[in-house]
Formats: sequence, structure tokens, C-alpha cells
Amino acid sequence: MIKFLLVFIFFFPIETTFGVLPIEKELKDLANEYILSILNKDEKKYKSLITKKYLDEQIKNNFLKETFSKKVDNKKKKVDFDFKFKKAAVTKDKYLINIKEKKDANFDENWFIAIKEKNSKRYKIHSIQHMED
Amino acid sequence: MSTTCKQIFSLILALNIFQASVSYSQDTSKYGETCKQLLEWIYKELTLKNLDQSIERTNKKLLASMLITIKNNKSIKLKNHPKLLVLWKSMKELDPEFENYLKKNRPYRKFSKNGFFTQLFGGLTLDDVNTVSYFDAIKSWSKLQISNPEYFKGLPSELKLDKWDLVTAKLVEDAGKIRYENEDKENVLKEITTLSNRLKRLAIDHTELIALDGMDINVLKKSLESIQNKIIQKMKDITEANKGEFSRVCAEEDFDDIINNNPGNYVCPIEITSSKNLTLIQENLIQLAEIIPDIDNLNLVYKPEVPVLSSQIDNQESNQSAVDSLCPVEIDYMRVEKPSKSATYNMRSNAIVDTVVIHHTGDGTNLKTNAEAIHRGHIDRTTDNDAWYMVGYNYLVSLGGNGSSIEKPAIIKGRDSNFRGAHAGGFTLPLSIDKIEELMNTFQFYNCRDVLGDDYSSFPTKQIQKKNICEDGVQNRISSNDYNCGALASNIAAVKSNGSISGNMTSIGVAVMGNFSKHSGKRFMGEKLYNSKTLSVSQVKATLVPKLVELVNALKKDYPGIKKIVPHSYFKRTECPGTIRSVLSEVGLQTGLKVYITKSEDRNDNDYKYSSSDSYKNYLKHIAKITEIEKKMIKLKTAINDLESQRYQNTTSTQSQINTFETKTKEIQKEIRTQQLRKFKLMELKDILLREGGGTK
Repeated sequence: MIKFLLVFIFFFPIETTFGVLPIEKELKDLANEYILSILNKDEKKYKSLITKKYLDEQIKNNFLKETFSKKVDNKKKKVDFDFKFKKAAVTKDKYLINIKEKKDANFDENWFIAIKEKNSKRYKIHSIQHMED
Repeated sequence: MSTTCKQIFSLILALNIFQASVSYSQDTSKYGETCKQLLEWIYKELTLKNLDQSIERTNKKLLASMLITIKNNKSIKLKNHPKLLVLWKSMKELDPEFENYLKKNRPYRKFSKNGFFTQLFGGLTLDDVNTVSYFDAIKSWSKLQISNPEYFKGLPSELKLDKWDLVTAKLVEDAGKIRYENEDKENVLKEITTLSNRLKRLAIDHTELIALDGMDINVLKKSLESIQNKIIQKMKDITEANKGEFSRVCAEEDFDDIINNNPGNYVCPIEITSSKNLTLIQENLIQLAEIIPDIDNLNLVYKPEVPVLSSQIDNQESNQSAVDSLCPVEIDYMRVEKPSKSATYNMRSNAIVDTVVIHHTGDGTNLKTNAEAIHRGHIDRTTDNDAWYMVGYNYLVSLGGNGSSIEKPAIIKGRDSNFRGAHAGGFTLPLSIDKIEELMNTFQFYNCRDVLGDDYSSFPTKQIQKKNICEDGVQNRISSNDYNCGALASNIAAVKSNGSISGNMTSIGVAVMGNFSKHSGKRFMGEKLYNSKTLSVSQVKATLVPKLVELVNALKKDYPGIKKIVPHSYFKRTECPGTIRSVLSEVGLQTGLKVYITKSEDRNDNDYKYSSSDSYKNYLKHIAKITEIEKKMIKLKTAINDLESQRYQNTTSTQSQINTFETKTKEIQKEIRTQQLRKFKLMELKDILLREGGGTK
């Protein structure tokens, strides 16, 4: 029995063994990469993290032009932030994500919506939703 | 009063008593309900004489309502109550002769010196008084009696306006509309007023009948008498046929009185216990209904419809609210997206609504965002401890179409306003103990299917599809039949120890579609994470303000208790509703409502009271106890549910295990009964405390 447990722990990823759900990790990674892509002005990465609809919206409202026309020399590899998420109660494969900087006291009322596009295995940022607690 | 009139009066009295008895003894029986509906219909719509008597009754009550407010003037200072002032002024508009009438009659002569209204209200003027119809006036006074009972202190209960008075007033109004429907509005209003006055005089003089063009009064009288005789005969037959059933409780002479249309001083309270006999009575009553269509050709004032026995006749006149008359878009939200099964709802009484809360829909939305998307977003927020039933706002205002079928600016219905909303996210200022007591009573009446049992017929019925109600006349409602109402505890717990309560209970949430924030998009380390299109209120002011004024004015009519408009940020720290905040004062000016941007403004302007007396503390203590018991009951019920679901799932378990579960269930049920008894005792104790308790400070 002990042998079995040791084998189990050895093969199981550390992050997922101690209280972090795989989905939480996936969404936090998504948020992390999303923030980094913007801070590092990495347009290609940014586009890979968002859905087609969201991309169209951000092109239309000039976000891409405003954000990725600049260059960054010292690219960040890691960013610290507070994160919370909720699973959509009714819609399948939909999560609500909120992030804030460590220095901020409270999360704001604007949440990212993450969904899985058709034939995709990964969650992507799909829209913004204003939600008051 | 003529002989015929006496006969009719006797018949109506007999019918009324019979009806009350039938409905009392068989409230839950479909037969009882059918009999009740039919008898009510006969009572309401049978004859012109019936209408005469009803108008007289309504006018007496109306006059009593008005006069009692003068009597109470010393204690409540009417001039400080604009709602009442408007109503009084409206009465003057309704009948220009009214002031003179009061001047000539004791004890109101004293007011004649400087003008009745000037004297009464100390020279206050109010310019925005609209001409009201007779029905509007009755409806307003009736609503005021519910929302502000303090104005009517001392008014005997039998003189309070009731549903029947509303039906009568509607008949009077309809009479005016039938005749003048093709003429221009101003003339129609004048003529309706004239007709209303004529009908009022008619109530005083019973010898006159309403003589509309083309009506031969003699033919009418004769035909009515013939139908009345038929009905009297049928009533005799029904009474004879059921004599045996009532013989245990009714004296022989009482039956003779009914049969001979001579109720005298006493008619026995008929009691029906056997469903077999109820069926028989129902059959007899349906035969009675068969002669009713004859009236179609006679009653030119109000053409009655043959009753549909299964429908709710009672609610016919109250379905069209002032907001509904604005033709709001209705959406079948339950078809758009059904909430999670864990979602519950709470109902509330309109009487407790006193605030309109203005929101914007914020980031990620624009003028054309559809209400369906907001609904989806809200129910998707549901978590284990926080289940959302449906869109949390009561109304949405779309300035660029609602994104689907309507392209013009529109008012869209959200969560039915009989439901507690989900939008304020904060608490009211402390309320007085009287107000809290009113709220408590409301909760006990409205909340909990468990308490109401199967008799929750007042719950909204299922709706079919998205419709404009003014186009098809169908008012769709939100389906609640598949969901449970929230626990009583959740509302009681909402009363805080200082006497404040969840803003959602006392307000109507109105959300303007679009993002009116001053800042666009979320930022992280100085970088924008996305661009969100924002709108400045100045871009849409010309459309938004009139739309909000239109909606708020209608809400004022539907909810006479509404006193103020506040932004969402009044209740909690939020940017919502962004720059819309700057136009609220204009909306306030145009609707006559106060606008408070912050709670402290409201507190400074008003005298918010709560009691620190011992009785109040005891009262809160008992609320806490009831809450605790309620929570225990919920836990126990959950435990029962868990046990039962386990029982069903575990098909391989032995019979002995099932027996154990059942025993446990019984024990828990027993415990629930004990707890329920305790709860009711506590509630009785609460009532006693309230009766004995001191007032507010």
C-alpha cells in the first residue's frame, strides 16, 4: 500500500497534488500568459490566447494597434497577481476569471470570460463581463 | 328602492353569502373554485342596477377615504405628504364641482373661506397634476390605503376600497370608452369625466338609468326583469335541490327566506362538506350560466363576457400595470437559459418598494447588448452558495434596440418586480419597527411554497415567447413553477440588528444598457489589459432622460410607495452607473422624486428612525431565534433529501438498511414537527410582544 502511494505521488504533478485543481491551474496559467503577452508586447502569443470573436473586437477598438506597436526590451518571465475564478453554472465549458495586482485591495467588477472553442482543448479569453458582487 | 331592486338586492345578498360559504369550505377544491368564480361573475356583471349599487358603494367609500384624511390632518399634516396632495388635486381635476360640493356640506364649510384646497394644504401648489380617470382615482386611493395606512387611521374596515370597487370603477371607465373611442383624446377625457359625474349622480338617484344613445329604457327594464326572474327561479331550484345537505345547520325558515327572496335579518351560513353535492351544485350553476349570454344584447353600458370558469377572473382588471402600458419588451428568459436547479427565488409585496436603483450594464456591453445576454451572464454566476435565479434587474433600458428584434430604444422587462431583485448589493438605512413588521408580514405571506402548500396560485405562470404585450394583449410571466422559493430565513436574516434590510427587497433595479464608466478597461502594472468601449452620458442624454422619466413615472403609478431614485453606488462601493449619475437629478425633477447619490444625503434629509427600546430588542431576539429554527429545519430537510436520494441510488442495499433510513427520516420529520411547533409559538410570542411593545423613538 505504501509502495503504491509513493508511486502515485511520484508520477503525479506536484502542483495538482496539494489543493490546486487542474482547471484552476489551467485558468491561472491562461491569465498569467495573457498578462505577460501584453506586458511583453508579444502579439503572436496574445492572439493564441483569445477567441476569434474577442480578437475581432479588440482589433475594432484599436487595442492591438495601441498595445503591440511598442517594443519592450526586458521581457518578463513571471508576474505576481491575485486570481479568482468561477465555473459558469449553466453554460458548458465556460469560466469567469478575475485578476488584480497584489497591491490592489479589491478585485474590480470586470471579469474575463474563458471558453473552449469548438474542436479546441484549451480555454481562451472570449469576452469581458461586468459583474457586481 | 323598487320591488325589483329589493329582489335583486336579496338575490345578491343570498348569492354573496352562498358564495362566501362555498369558497370558504372548499378553497382548495376545483369545484369550490369554479362555483366561486361563477357566483362572483354573476354578482359583478349581472345588471345595471347592480352597477348602480356598486357605484354608490364605491363612492361612499371613496368619500370616506378622502374625508378621513382630512380628519387625520392634525396628526399627519397632509401638506407634508405630496403623494396625498397629488391625489387630492387629482380629485379636483376629476370633478370640478367637487370642491363646491364639499364647501356646501358640513363640516367642511369652514374651508370655504380661502378655497378648500388652499386651506387644506396651506397654499401649496403642485403643477404636474394630471387629469385622472375615475378608475385611476379609485385605484390610487386603494393603493394609498395599502401603502400608507397611517393616512386612514380610524377608517372602518368595511369602508376600505377593495377589488370590487376597482371592478366597478373600471366598468364606469369602459362605459366612457365604448361611446367615445373614435374621438380625440382630450374630448374623450372630458366626456369620460362627464359620464363619471353622471354615474356618480346616478348612484344618489336610483330611479334614473344610464340612458345612452339608442337604448330603449323600457325594453331594457323589461328584458332585465325577465332574466332576473329566470335567475331567481334557478336560484330557488338550486337551494331546493341542496336543502338536504344544509338541513343539519340551517333552520327551515332560512330556506324559506332564500326561496322567497326575503333574507330578513338572517340567512343561515350554508356549509358544504360533500364533494358529491358540490358537483351537483356546480352543474346547477353551469345551467344558470347558460342563460347569461342573453344579457349580451341588453347591457349596452358594459358588454359582459361569458365567464371562462378555469381562468382567474379576479385578476382581469389588475393585469395591465402602468409600466405595461408603455409596451415593454417581454422575454421568455426561462427559454433563453434555465437557471441551475439550486436557484431559488423570493417574492415580495409591491407595498414595500420605495426606491428606484439605476445601474449601467458596464464593461463588455454596449447600447445594443441584448437582455438575453445579461440574463445568461447572471445565471452563469451561480456558485454553490450563491445561486442566481435569472437576470437580477427588474427593468432594462436599451437605447439602441435590444440586439434582437426591436431596433428602437426600448424598455425591457427583467426579473418580475414581484420578485426580490438581485442588483443592489447593500442595505437600506434603518427602518422603523412598523416598517419592519410590515416587511415581516410580507415575507411570511409571500415566501415559501412550504408555508403556502399547493395554494400558490398567485405565482406567475409560464410564459411562451418574446412578445410585445401591447401588440397581442398577452402578459407573459416568468416561470417559477420548476423552482423553489427561497427560505424564509434568508429574508428574515436580511433584517440587520440596526433595522436595515437588503436593498433588493425594497427597490426596483433599472439597468441602462451600455458602459458608462469613466475609465475604459482594466489595467495591470500601468498597461491596459483590453479596450472597452465607453459611452458618455452626454451622447445619449436626449434619449436616455425621457426614457427613464417615462419608466419612473409609470413605476410611481404601479408602486405608490416609491419615494426616491438612487444610483447603484448609493448601496455599495462601485463605479456603477458611471456618468449616468449626472443626469439623475434631471430625472428626479421631471418625476417629482428625490434623488440621493449617497446614503448620508438621504439620512440627512430624512428622519430615519429605529428603536432601541426593550421591546424592539426582544423583537430582534425572537427574529434571530426564528431564523435559527428555520435554518435547522432547512438542514433537517436537506438531510431527509440526502437520505432519500441515497435510498434511491443504492439499489443493492438491503431492506434492513432502507428500514433504518426510514426510521431516521421519521425521527427527523418528528424533529421538524417539534421545531415547527416551537417556531409557531415563537411567532405568536413575537406578535404578543409587538402588540405590547413600545413605538419607535
